[in-house]
Amino acid sequence: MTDTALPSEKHSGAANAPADGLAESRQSLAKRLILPTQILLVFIVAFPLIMQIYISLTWWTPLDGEPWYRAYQSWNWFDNYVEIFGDPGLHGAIWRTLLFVIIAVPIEFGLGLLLAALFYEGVAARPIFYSLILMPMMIVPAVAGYIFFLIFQQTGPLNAFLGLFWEGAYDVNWLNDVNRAFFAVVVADVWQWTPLMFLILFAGLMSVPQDQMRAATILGANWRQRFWRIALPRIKAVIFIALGLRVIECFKIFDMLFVMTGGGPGVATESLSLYLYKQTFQSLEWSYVAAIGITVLVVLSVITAVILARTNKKEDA
Amino acid sequence: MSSVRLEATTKQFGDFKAVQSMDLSIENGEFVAILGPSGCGKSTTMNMIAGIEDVTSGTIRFDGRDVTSVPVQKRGVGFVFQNYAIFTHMSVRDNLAFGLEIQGAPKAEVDKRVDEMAQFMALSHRLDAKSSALSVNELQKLAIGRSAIVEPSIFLLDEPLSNLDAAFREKMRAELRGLQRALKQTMVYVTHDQIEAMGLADRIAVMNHAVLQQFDTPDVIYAEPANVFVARFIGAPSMNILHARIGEGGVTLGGRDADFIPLSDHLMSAARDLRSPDVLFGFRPENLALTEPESPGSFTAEVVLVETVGRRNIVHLVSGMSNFLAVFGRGAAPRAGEAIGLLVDTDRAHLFDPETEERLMPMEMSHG
Amino acid sequence: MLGLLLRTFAVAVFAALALLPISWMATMAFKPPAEWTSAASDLTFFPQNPTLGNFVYVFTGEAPDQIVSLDRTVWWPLFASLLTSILGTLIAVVCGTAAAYGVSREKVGGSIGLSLLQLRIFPPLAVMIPVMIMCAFLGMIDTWWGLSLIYGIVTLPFSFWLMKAYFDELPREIEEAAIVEGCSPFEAFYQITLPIVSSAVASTALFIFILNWSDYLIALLLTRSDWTTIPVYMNALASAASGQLYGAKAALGLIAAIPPIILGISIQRFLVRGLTFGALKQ
Repeated sequence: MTDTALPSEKHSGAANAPADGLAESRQSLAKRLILPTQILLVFIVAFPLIMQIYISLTWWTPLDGEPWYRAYQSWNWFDNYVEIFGDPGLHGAIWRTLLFVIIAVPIEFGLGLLLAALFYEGVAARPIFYSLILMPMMIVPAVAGYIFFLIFQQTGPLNAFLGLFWEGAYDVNWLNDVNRAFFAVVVADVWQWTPLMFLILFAGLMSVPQDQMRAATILGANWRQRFWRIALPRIKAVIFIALGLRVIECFKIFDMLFVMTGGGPGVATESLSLYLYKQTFQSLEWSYVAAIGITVLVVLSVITAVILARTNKKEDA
Repeated sequence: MSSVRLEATTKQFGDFKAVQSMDLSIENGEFVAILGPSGCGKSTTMNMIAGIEDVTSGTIRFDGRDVTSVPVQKRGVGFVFQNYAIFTHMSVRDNLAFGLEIQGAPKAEVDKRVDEMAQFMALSHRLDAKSSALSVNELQKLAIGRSAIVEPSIFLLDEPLSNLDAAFREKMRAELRGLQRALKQTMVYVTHDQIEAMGLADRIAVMNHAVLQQFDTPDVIYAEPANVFVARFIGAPSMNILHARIGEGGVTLGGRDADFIPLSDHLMSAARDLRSPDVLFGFRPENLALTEPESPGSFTAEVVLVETVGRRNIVHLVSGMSNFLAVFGRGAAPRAGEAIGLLVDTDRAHLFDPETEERLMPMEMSHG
Repeated sequence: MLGLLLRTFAVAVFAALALLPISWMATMAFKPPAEWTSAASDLTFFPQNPTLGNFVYVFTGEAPDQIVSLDRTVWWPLFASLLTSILGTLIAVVCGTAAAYGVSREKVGGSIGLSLLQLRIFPPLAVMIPVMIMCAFLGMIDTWWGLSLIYGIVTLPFSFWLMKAYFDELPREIEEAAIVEGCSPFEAFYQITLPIVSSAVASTALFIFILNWSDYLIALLLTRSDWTTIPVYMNALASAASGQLYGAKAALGLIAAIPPIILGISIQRFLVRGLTFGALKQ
């Protein structure tokens, strides 16, 4: 018998105790460490989800005076879901949200890319300009909404500025006109989130290997050719992430619109989130809102699953 | 295909002189290595030839034409990077076609020349592969092919073999040499590896501390180094350089009269202008022969250590205050601690000025 | 050289566009009521009669040029914002870091990471009804701990994914060496690994604090009056008094905007990582 055999004998016959015991204790540590997060997830995801599905299958509203668990009294199967298809208010809100995404995100992307290209080619006092350009995205979104509420006032600074060139500027009412209000919220969103696009795209450009850019230069490529043929194709994944983030956030947009226009005039700037908010607190049709919520979850889950599958495939390739 | 001339070319970064007044003339079709330790200015020199770096002063000429202010895109050089800088998001075909497409060559011509180049580089079967899937040796061929396809006037290579392991490097070196011959291109090759430079180049430009030390064929640089730096940098193990004193018809090592080495009149003539009798005496470890201690013309040293490398014994020796090396064949194997006599092949020995470290030139004599 | 000048000029234009709206609010905060709503032709960028009146008003509830006094000053919302943001950050960072370590090292917990990602992707208003019912049932509405807890959960995805990226980069051998030396697995985590990633934890915490501080919606839904945070208090101010309190609201906006700007600039290098859940590094 060698010395090394002694410890395992002490451990009551467990033959390879040291290795197995260690792996086991690390496993149990890991399980204990994720426990708080799991509990919070059950609390905020699993349990509410079941509750929401349950409520969405009834006519229950807080006006009933009944607690939510008695909602079964007005069980209606899928009537709320059927209602979704015939709700012009909801359709309008979804359409406006999509329109918002289609207009705002490409502008943010274009400007962000332009800025990233300018920084990449080199500007004077880069750290200072970099910090200044990032400022808007650090502003609390509700405050940003208020800032643009001020700017787009009929007697506000924008009209005062336009008035320098054009007499009639003071008659332009931005936030009380259906189209101009929509334009105004797009401007506010572009102002706040172009820096985010810039930040991510610039980080992407900086990760392009210097030698490849140099090699392209030596082969005769000018900066435009280098940018389009070398740098951009190399940061495809980064572009994908940046666009994805903004699209997701646009679907969630609430704070800025709520403070800036409250969804108005009428429903001109009412996004999906604002519509849900109004249904929740003005119409108090909670079971219907719950049904819309479940539908949104299903649609978004499918979309994200598709996107994740695509990105994973790309990583494998 | 061009000749390249650097005339008093200087590069300064702030107060730091990276390259100091460099004159270099590279012939058409020549394979030149720029050799030196890291930070000696060899990469800066190459970047100036390519146009990646501006010159602070001086002139660069291709075929006599002043290209000093021609931007890098227009200069028409081929450049092979240390890591090859292959566009990994493109196929092999797109990499090869890149330069021609940038020049706006018609599609039919691009296709034809890409096919020809692929054939020449033996990459035809890989044309549609993703370039990230290539082996190192294919990468090197692609990097050279991608540059060669636009018919550059000269080729610059930045230590392309330094990432490889020793065995593979030898194979790639041979391949590179073959490609250079086949392309008949002027090539400038930057390296810190003297074996690579000796094996590849027609001529070697040795640099140190921003200054060109010597520019000559590998044989001359080995046999007649211009100064102490070149003498030590070239050759493995490097040249022994010992303090010595000029005497009548020879030198004494380490102040020991017993260690008197008689030198030929030819070599002694090199010391004619020295003001003090102190001199540096240089000889390669290969140029020592083993003899009996105290035998005439020899000097004595003690063996410290014997390393056997292949068919050679590398013997570490100490004589007086000086440490030095000798290389003997397998047959001659002194033992550590032993005192031995050494004969220097004085026809291949050199004297250096201890102040300037320049090699002292013997007087020209008419031979035979 | 010309190119550099042109690029710098273009970037300067962008920087000016980025700054102008913020500075409009900043100068508004120092304007007396007479300059808030004056006929537009009189508008000036800088206050003609600069005053601290707006700040005095929101902090004391009284100001010489204001007829209506405020029934609530900004002190309590400021405290509420700070307290709930800090506690929420604490919850997110502690739980997120622990879970990230477990998942990174032992691959336990199944799809916990994906669930957290979905939690971040879904529009909060689509899932708020049961959460509000539950919070009401548990007495969490308009309490400091209820708001903190929800903040912690909502920002958990960030701390989890960010810290997981850091742990994934860290070689296991470090802990294995510690365990060979006689540490328990927990000691190896707590005494060896955590100190190594402490600066990452700090950056993550600051980042999450900014997110919590910037929230408007959750505070709007889960508070009534006692624990409203600064953004909610700011936006509610207009309806509380007669007419629009442009200057006072601008002062509040400025107070709300300053901490994220300072913290955001101080963790600038971390922002790319933070905003992309650790997917991109700078």
